[in-house]
Amino acid sequence: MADGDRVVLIVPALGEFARTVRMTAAELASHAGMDIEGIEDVRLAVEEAFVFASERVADAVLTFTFTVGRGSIEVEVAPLLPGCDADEGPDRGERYARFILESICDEFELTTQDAVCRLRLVKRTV
Amino acid sequence: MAFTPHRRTTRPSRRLVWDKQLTHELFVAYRVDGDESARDELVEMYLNLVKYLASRFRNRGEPVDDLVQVGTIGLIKAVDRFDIERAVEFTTYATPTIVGEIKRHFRDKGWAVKVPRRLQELSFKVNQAVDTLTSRLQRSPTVPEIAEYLEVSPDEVLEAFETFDAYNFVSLETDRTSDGAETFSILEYIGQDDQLLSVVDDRAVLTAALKGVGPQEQRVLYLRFFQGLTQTEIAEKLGISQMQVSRLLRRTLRILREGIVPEGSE
Repeated sequence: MADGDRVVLIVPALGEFARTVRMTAAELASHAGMDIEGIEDVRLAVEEAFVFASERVADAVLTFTFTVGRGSIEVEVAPLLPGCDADEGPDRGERYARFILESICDEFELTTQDAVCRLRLVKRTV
Repeated sequence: MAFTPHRRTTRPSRRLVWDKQLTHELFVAYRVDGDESARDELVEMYLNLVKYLASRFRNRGEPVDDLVQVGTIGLIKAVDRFDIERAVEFTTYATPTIVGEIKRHFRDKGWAVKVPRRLQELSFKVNQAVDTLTSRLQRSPTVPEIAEYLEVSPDEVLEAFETFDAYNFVSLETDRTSDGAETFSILEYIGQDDQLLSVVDDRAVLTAALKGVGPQEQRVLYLRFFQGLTQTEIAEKLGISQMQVSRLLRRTLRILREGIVPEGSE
Protein backbone atom coordinates (compact mmCIF):
# COMPACT_ATOMS: atom_id res chain seq x y z
CA MET A 1 0.00 0.00 0.00
CA ALA A 2 1.47 3.32 -1.08
CA ASP A 3 1.60 6.44 1.05
CA GLY A 4 -1.63 8.42 0.64
CA ASP A 5 -3.73 5.58 -0.74
CA ARG A 6 -7.44 6.14 -0.39
CA VAL A 7 -10.12 3.63 0.48
CA VAL A 8 -13.79 4.59 0.32
CA LEU A 9 -16.45 2.71 2.21
CA ILE A 10 -20.15 3.48 1.83
CA VAL A 11 -22.40 1.98 4.49
CA PRO A 12 -26.01 2.44 5.63
CA ALA A 13 -26.16 4.73 8.66
CA LEU A 14 -27.25 1.86 10.89
CA GLY A 15 -25.50 0.70 14.04
CA GLU A 16 -25.09 -2.81 12.70
CA PHE A 17 -22.57 -1.49 10.19
CA ALA A 18 -20.33 0.04 12.84
CA ARG A 19 -18.45 -3.27 12.96
CA THR A 20 -17.81 -3.15 9.23
CA VAL A 21 -16.33 0.31 9.53
CA ARG A 22 -14.37 -0.59 12.65
CA MET A 23 -12.82 -3.67 11.06
CA THR A 24 -11.95 -1.79 7.89
CA ALA A 25 -10.35 0.96 9.93
CA ALA A 26 -8.39 -1.60 11.97
CA GLU A 27 -7.19 -3.33 8.83
CA LEU A 28 -6.07 -0.05 7.27
CA ALA A 29 -4.43 1.15 10.48
CA SER A 30 -2.45 -2.08 10.46
CA HIS A 31 -1.47 -1.41 6.85
CA ALA A 32 -0.32 2.02 7.95
CA GLY A 33 2.10 0.26 10.25
CA MET A 34 0.41 1.11 13.52
CA ASP A 35 0.94 -1.08 16.53
CA ILE A 36 -2.08 -2.58 18.27
CA GLU A 37 -2.38 0.34 20.65
CA GLY A 38 -2.72 2.72 17.73
CA ILE A 39 -5.15 0.36 16.05
CA GLU A 40 -7.28 0.19 19.17
CA ASP A 41 -7.40 3.99 19.29
CA VAL A 42 -8.44 4.08 15.65
CA ARG A 43 -11.22 1.57 16.33
CA LEU A 44 -12.42 3.62 19.29
CA ALA A 45 -12.33 6.84 17.30
CA VAL A 46 -14.10 5.40 14.28
CA GLU A 47 -16.85 3.98 16.44
CA GLU A 48 -17.42 7.35 18.10
CA ALA A 49 -17.35 9.03 14.71
CA PHE A 50 -19.84 6.50 13.36
CA VAL A 51 -22.29 7.09 16.20
CA PHE A 52 -21.92 10.85 15.94
CA ALA A 53 -22.34 10.83 12.16
CA SER A 54 -25.24 8.39 12.05
CA GLU A 55 -27.22 10.71 14.31
CA ARG A 56 -26.58 13.61 11.96
CA VAL A 57 -26.48 11.93 8.59
CA ALA A 58 -27.93 13.96 5.74
CA ASP A 59 -28.67 10.82 3.77
CA ALA A 60 -29.44 7.17 4.51
CA VAL A 61 -25.81 6.25 3.94
CA LEU A 62 -22.46 7.40 5.24
CA THR A 63 -19.30 7.58 3.19
CA PHE A 64 -16.07 6.88 5.03
CA THR A 65 -12.96 7.94 3.14
CA PHE A 66 -9.77 6.55 4.60
CA THR A 67 -6.42 7.97 3.54
CA VAL A 68 -3.61 5.72 4.62
CA GLY A 69 -0.13 7.10 5.12
CA ARG A 70 3.03 5.75 6.67
CA GLY A 71 2.17 5.61 10.33
CA SER A 72 -1.02 7.61 9.95
CA ILE A 73 -4.61 7.30 8.92
CA GLU A 74 -7.07 10.04 8.05
CA VAL A 75 -10.79 9.37 8.12
CA GLU A 76 -13.40 11.64 6.60
CA VAL A 77 -17.12 10.99 7.18
CA ALA A 78 -19.87 12.63 5.13
CA PRO A 79 -22.49 13.79 4.37
CA LEU A 80 -23.64 15.22 7.68
CA LEU A 81 -26.53 17.58 8.17
CA PRO A 82 -25.71 21.21 7.34
CA GLY A 83 -24.67 23.25 10.34
CA CYS A 84 -23.08 20.38 12.21
CA ASP A 85 -19.92 22.49 12.47
CA ALA A 86 -21.69 25.53 13.90
CA ASP A 87 -19.62 27.24 16.56
CA GLU A 88 -22.53 28.53 18.52
CA GLY A 89 -24.12 26.32 21.07
CA PRO A 90 -22.85 22.91 20.05
CA ASP A 91 -25.16 20.27 21.40
CA ARG A 92 -24.22 17.80 24.08
CA GLY A 93 -23.66 15.07 21.50
CA GLU A 94 -21.11 17.21 19.72
CA ARG A 95 -19.38 18.20 22.92
CA TYR A 96 -19.17 14.55 23.93
CA ALA A 97 -17.80 13.54 20.52
CA ARG A 98 -15.25 16.35 20.70
CA PHE A 99 -14.17 15.31 24.17
CA ILE A 100 -13.58 11.72 23.12
CA LEU A 101 -12.21 12.30 19.62
CA GLU A 102 -9.90 15.15 20.59
CA SER A 103 -8.52 12.95 23.35
CA ILE A 104 -7.92 9.96 21.11
CA CYS A 105 -7.00 11.55 17.78
CA ASP A 106 -4.24 13.87 16.70
CA GLU A 107 -6.69 15.95 14.69
CA PHE A 108 -10.46 16.24 14.77
CA GLU A 109 -12.63 18.77 13.01
CA LEU A 110 -16.07 19.39 11.60
CA THR A 111 -16.10 21.39 8.41
CA THR A 112 -18.51 22.47 5.70
CA GLN A 113 -17.46 22.38 2.09
CA ASP A 114 -19.79 22.76 -0.89
CA ALA A 115 -22.74 22.82 1.52
CA VAL A 116 -21.81 19.39 2.85
CA CYS A 117 -20.76 18.97 6.45
CA ARG A 118 -17.96 16.50 7.14
CA LEU A 119 -16.21 15.02 10.08
CA ARG A 120 -12.47 14.55 9.72
CA LEU A 121 -10.06 12.89 12.05
CA VAL A 122 -6.41 11.92 11.90
CA LYS A 123 -4.54 9.42 13.98
CA ARG A 124 -0.77 9.11 13.84
CA THR A 125 1.63 6.60 15.29
CA VAL A 126 3.00 7.90 18.56
CA MET B 1 -59.40 15.73 14.54
CA ALA B 2 -56.12 14.79 13.06
CA PHE B 3 -57.08 11.44 11.62
CA THR B 4 -57.35 11.18 7.92
CA PRO B 5 -59.92 8.65 6.72
CA HIS B 6 -57.46 6.70 4.65
CA ARG B 7 -54.82 6.15 7.21
CA ARG B 8 -56.70 3.49 9.12
CA THR B 9 -57.28 1.55 5.97
CA THR B 10 -53.61 1.62 4.99
CA ARG B 11 -51.73 -1.07 6.80
CA PRO B 12 -48.07 -1.91 6.57
CA SER B 13 -47.29 -5.09 4.73
CA ARG B 14 -45.62 -7.98 6.49
CA ARG B 15 -42.42 -7.23 4.65
CA LEU B 16 -39.95 -4.80 6.15
CA VAL B 17 -41.41 -1.87 4.27
CA TRP B 18 -43.34 0.94 5.87
CA ASP B 19 -45.56 3.60 4.47
CA LYS B 20 -43.61 6.86 4.89
CA GLN B 21 -46.62 9.04 4.29
CA LEU B 22 -48.72 7.16 6.82
CA THR B 23 -45.84 7.27 9.30
CA HIS B 24 -45.61 11.03 8.91
CA GLU B 25 -49.37 11.46 9.31
CA LEU B 26 -49.37 9.38 12.46
CA PHE B 27 -46.49 11.36 13.92
CA VAL B 28 -48.27 14.61 13.15
CA ALA B 29 -51.44 13.26 14.76
CA TYR B 30 -49.51 12.17 17.84
CA ARG B 31 -47.19 15.13 18.24
CA VAL B 32 -49.23 18.04 16.96
CA ASP B 33 -52.72 16.91 17.94
CA GLY B 34 -51.80 14.81 20.95
CA ASP B 35 -53.58 11.78 19.57
CA GLU B 36 -52.45 8.88 21.78
CA SER B 37 -54.07 6.29 19.53
CA ALA B 38 -51.74 7.43 16.74
CA ARG B 39 -48.83 6.64 19.05
CA ASP B 40 -50.22 3.13 19.65
CA GLU B 41 -50.70 2.68 15.95
CA LEU B 42 -47.10 3.70 15.26
CA VAL B 43 -45.83 1.20 17.80
CA GLU B 44 -48.00 -1.52 16.31
CA MET B 45 -46.94 -0.56 12.81
CA TYR B 46 -43.23 -0.88 13.57
CA LEU B 47 -43.42 -4.03 15.66
CA ASN B 48 -42.15 -5.95 12.64
CA LEU B 49 -38.95 -3.94 12.82
CA VAL B 50 -38.53 -5.00 16.46
CA LYS B 51 -39.23 -8.63 15.57
CA TYR B 52 -36.75 -8.49 12.74
CA LEU B 53 -34.03 -6.96 14.90
CA ALA B 54 -34.75 -9.34 17.79
CA SER B 55 -34.49 -12.32 15.46
CA ARG B 56 -30.91 -11.38 14.71
CA PHE B 57 -30.09 -12.19 18.33
CA ARG B 58 -31.74 -15.61 18.29
CA ASN B 59 -29.81 -18.64 19.56
CA ARG B 60 -27.92 -16.53 22.04
CA GLY B 61 -29.51 -17.91 25.14
CA GLU B 62 -32.55 -15.67 25.35
CA PRO B 63 -36.06 -16.41 24.07
CA VAL B 64 -36.81 -14.21 21.06
CA ASP B 65 -40.15 -13.26 22.63
CA ASP B 66 -38.27 -11.69 25.55
CA LEU B 67 -36.04 -9.82 23.13
CA VAL B 68 -39.09 -8.56 21.26
CA GLN B 69 -40.46 -7.34 24.58
CA VAL B 70 -37.34 -5.35 25.47
CA GLY B 71 -36.96 -4.21 21.87
CA THR B 72 -40.50 -2.85 22.00
CA ILE B 73 -39.45 -0.64 24.90
CA GLY B 74 -36.79 0.77 22.58
CA LEU B 75 -39.39 1.27 19.88
CA ILE B 76 -41.67 3.19 22.25
CA LYS B 77 -38.75 5.38 23.31
CA ALA B 78 -37.97 6.03 19.65
CA VAL B 79 -41.58 6.95 18.89
CA ASP B 80 -41.64 9.34 21.83
CA ARG B 81 -38.31 10.98 20.97
CA PHE B 82 -38.43 11.09 17.19
CA ASP B 83 -38.28 14.60 15.81
CA ILE B 84 -40.53 14.80 12.77
CA GLU B 85 -38.68 17.89 11.57
CA ARG B 86 -35.48 15.93 11.11
CA ALA B 87 -34.68 14.70 7.64
CA VAL B 88 -34.17 11.18 8.89
CA GLU B 89 -36.42 8.23 8.30
CA PHE B 90 -38.01 6.78 11.40
CA THR B 91 -36.52 3.31 10.78
CA THR B 92 -33.03 4.84 10.63
CA TYR B 93 -33.69 6.63 13.88
CA ALA B 94 -35.42 3.76 15.70
CA THR B 95 -33.07 0.91 14.83
CA PRO B 96 -30.14 1.89 17.09
CA THR B 97 -32.54 2.57 19.96
CA ILE B 98 -34.19 -0.84 19.61
CA VAL B 99 -30.90 -2.68 19.21
CA GLY B 100 -29.51 -0.70 22.15
CA GLU B 101 -32.32 -1.95 24.39
CA ILE B 102 -31.76 -5.54 23.29
CA LYS B 103 -28.02 -5.29 23.91
CA ARG B 104 -28.64 -3.66 27.24
CA HIS B 105 -30.81 -6.64 28.11
CA PHE B 106 -27.93 -9.00 27.35
CA ARG B 107 -25.57 -6.81 29.29
CA ASP B 108 -27.85 -6.58 32.29
CA LYS B 109 -28.20 -10.34 32.27
CA GLY B 110 -24.44 -10.51 32.19
CA TRP B 111 -24.47 -12.97 29.35
CA ALA B 112 -21.95 -13.11 26.63
CA VAL B 113 -23.12 -13.28 23.07
CA LYS B 114 -22.16 -16.64 21.62
CA VAL B 115 -18.96 -16.77 19.67
CA PRO B 116 -17.58 -19.73 17.75
CA ARG B 117 -15.18 -21.70 19.91
CA ARG B 118 -12.38 -21.26 17.37
CA LEU B 119 -12.63 -17.48 17.71
CA GLN B 120 -12.92 -17.62 21.47
CA GLU B 121 -9.70 -19.62 21.66
CA LEU B 122 -7.93 -17.42 19.16
CA SER B 123 -9.07 -14.33 21.00
CA PHE B 124 -7.62 -15.72 24.22
CA LYS B 125 -4.34 -16.54 22.48
CA VAL B 126 -4.12 -13.09 20.91
CA ASN B 127 -4.62 -11.53 24.30
CA GLN B 128 -1.80 -13.60 25.74
CA ALA B 129 0.40 -12.93 22.71
CA VAL B 130 -0.02 -9.18 23.13
CA ASP B 131 1.17 -9.42 26.71
CA THR B 132 4.10 -11.67 25.83
CA LEU B 133 5.21 -9.57 22.87
CA THR B 134 4.78 -6.28 24.71
CA SER B 135 7.08 -7.58 27.40
CA ARG B 136 9.54 -9.05 24.91
CA LEU B 137 9.67 -6.08 22.52
CA GLN B 138 9.24 -3.42 25.22
CA ARG B 139 6.59 -1.78 23.04
CA SER B 140 3.13 -2.50 21.72
CA PRO B 141 3.34 -5.17 18.98
CA THR B 142 1.94 -4.85 15.47
CA VAL B 143 -0.67 -7.12 13.94
CA PRO B 144 1.86 -8.90 11.67
CA GLU B 145 4.07 -9.57 14.69
CA ILE B 146 1.18 -11.14 16.59
CA ALA B 147 0.16 -13.12 13.52
CA GLU B 148 3.68 -14.44 13.05
CA TYR B 149 3.99 -15.34 16.72
CA LEU B 150 0.71 -17.28 16.67
CA GLU B 151 1.20 -18.61 13.13
CA VAL B 152 -2.15 -17.25 12.00
CA SER B 153 -3.07 -14.64 9.40
CA PRO B 154 -3.25 -10.91 10.20
CA ASP B 155 -6.95 -11.04 9.29
CA GLU B 156 -7.54 -13.62 11.98
CA VAL B 157 -5.80 -11.42 14.53
CA LEU B 158 -8.00 -8.48 13.61
CA GLU B 159 -11.08 -10.68 13.82
CA ALA B 160 -9.98 -11.81 17.25
CA PHE B 161 -9.78 -8.17 18.37
CA GLU B 162 -13.45 -7.74 17.54
CA THR B 163 -14.35 -10.94 19.33
CA PHE B 164 -12.35 -10.10 22.40
CA ASP B 165 -13.83 -6.68 22.52
CA ALA B 166 -17.43 -7.74 22.32
CA TYR B 167 -17.75 -10.54 24.78
CA ASN B 168 -17.43 -11.70 28.35
CA PHE B 169 -18.07 -8.38 30.01
CA VAL B 170 -18.78 -10.00 33.31
CA SER B 171 -15.36 -11.48 33.86
CA LEU B 172 -13.89 -8.00 33.75
CA GLU B 173 -15.85 -7.05 36.81
CA THR B 174 -13.61 -9.33 38.84
CA ASP B 175 -10.38 -8.03 37.38
CA ARG B 176 -9.93 -5.47 40.08
CA THR B 177 -6.41 -6.09 41.05
CA SER B 178 -5.23 -2.57 41.72
CA ASP B 179 -5.40 -0.84 45.04
CA GLY B 180 -8.37 1.40 45.40
CA ALA B 181 -10.09 0.21 42.27
CA GLU B 182 -13.07 -1.01 44.27
CA THR B 183 -13.85 2.45 45.53
CA PHE B 184 -12.55 4.71 42.79
CA SER B 185 -14.95 7.41 41.65
CA ILE B 186 -14.04 9.70 38.80
CA LEU B 187 -16.37 12.37 40.19
CA GLU B 188 -13.92 13.00 42.99
CA TYR B 189 -11.33 14.03 40.43
CA ILE B 190 -13.47 16.27 38.29
CA GLY B 191 -13.08 19.96 38.98
CA GLN B 192 -15.33 22.88 38.28
CA ASP B 193 -13.75 23.68 34.93
CA ASP B 194 -13.16 20.16 33.80
CA GLN B 195 -13.65 19.30 30.17
CA LEU B 196 -15.84 16.29 30.87
CA LEU B 197 -18.07 18.39 33.09
CA SER B 198 -18.30 21.04 30.40
CA VAL B 199 -19.58 18.36 28.05
CA VAL B 200 -22.69 17.83 30.11
CA ASP B 201 -23.19 21.26 31.74
CA ASP B 202 -24.47 19.65 34.82
CA ARG B 203 -22.80 17.50 37.41
CA ALA B 204 -26.07 15.67 38.08
CA VAL B 205 -26.20 14.49 34.47
CA LEU B 206 -22.64 13.24 34.71
CA THR B 207 -23.36 11.51 38.01
CA ALA B 208 -26.35 9.75 36.46
CA ALA B 209 -24.36 8.80 33.36
CA LEU B 210 -21.64 7.28 35.51
CA LYS B 211 -24.12 5.23 37.47
CA GLY B 212 -23.62 2.18 35.28
CA VAL B 213 -19.85 2.55 35.26
CA GLY B 214 -17.95 0.52 37.82
CA PRO B 215 -14.93 1.79 39.76
CA GLN B 216 -12.48 -0.12 37.56
CA GLU B 217 -13.96 1.41 34.42
CA GLN B 218 -13.97 4.89 35.97
CA ARG B 219 -10.34 4.48 36.86
CA VAL B 220 -9.45 3.46 33.31
CA LEU B 221 -11.44 6.41 31.97
CA TYR B 222 -9.65 8.77 34.31
CA LEU B 223 -6.19 7.47 33.46
CA ARG B 224 -6.83 7.55 29.70
CA PHE B 225 -8.69 10.83 29.27
CA PHE B 226 -7.58 12.89 32.25
CA GLN B 227 -4.05 11.66 32.87
CA GLY B 228 -3.39 11.00 29.18
CA LEU B 229 -1.85 7.59 29.82
CA THR B 230 -1.57 5.10 26.97
CA GLN B 231 -3.41 1.80 27.11
CA THR B 232 -0.17 -0.04 27.81
CA GLU B 233 0.68 2.31 30.68
CA ILE B 234 -2.78 1.85 32.14
CA ALA B 235 -2.47 -1.90 31.81
CA GLU B 236 0.81 -1.86 33.71
CA LYS B 237 -0.60 0.40 36.39
CA LEU B 238 -3.69 -1.70 36.97
CA GLY B 239 -2.10 -5.08 36.47
CA ILE B 240 -4.41 -6.09 33.64
CA SER B 241 -3.75 -6.70 29.97
CA GLN B 242 -3.72 -3.98 27.35
CA MET B 243 -6.56 -5.74 25.56
CA GLN B 244 -8.63 -5.60 28.71
CA VAL B 245 -7.94 -1.88 29.01
CA SER B 246 -9.11 -1.44 25.43
CA ARG B 247 -12.28 -3.39 26.09
CA LEU B 248 -12.99 -1.56 29.34
CA LEU B 249 -12.55 1.76 27.56
CA ARG B 250 -14.93 0.93 24.76
CA ARG B 251 -17.51 -0.44 27.13
CA THR B 252 -17.25 2.58 29.40
CA LEU B 253 -17.53 5.02 26.52
CA ARG B 254 -20.66 3.27 25.31
CA ILE B 255 -22.28 3.46 28.73
CA LEU B 256 -21.23 7.08 29.10
CA ARG B 257 -22.49 7.99 25.64
CA GLU B 258 -25.87 6.40 26.36
CA GLY B 259 -26.09 8.32 29.63
CA ILE B 260 -24.84 11.66 28.39
CA VAL B 261 -26.36 11.64 24.93
CA PRO B 262 -29.55 9.55 25.09
CA GLU B 263 -30.99 8.80 21.69
CA GLY B 264 -33.24 11.52 20.42
CA SER B 265 -31.98 14.12 22.84
CA GLU B 266 -30.55 16.37 20.17
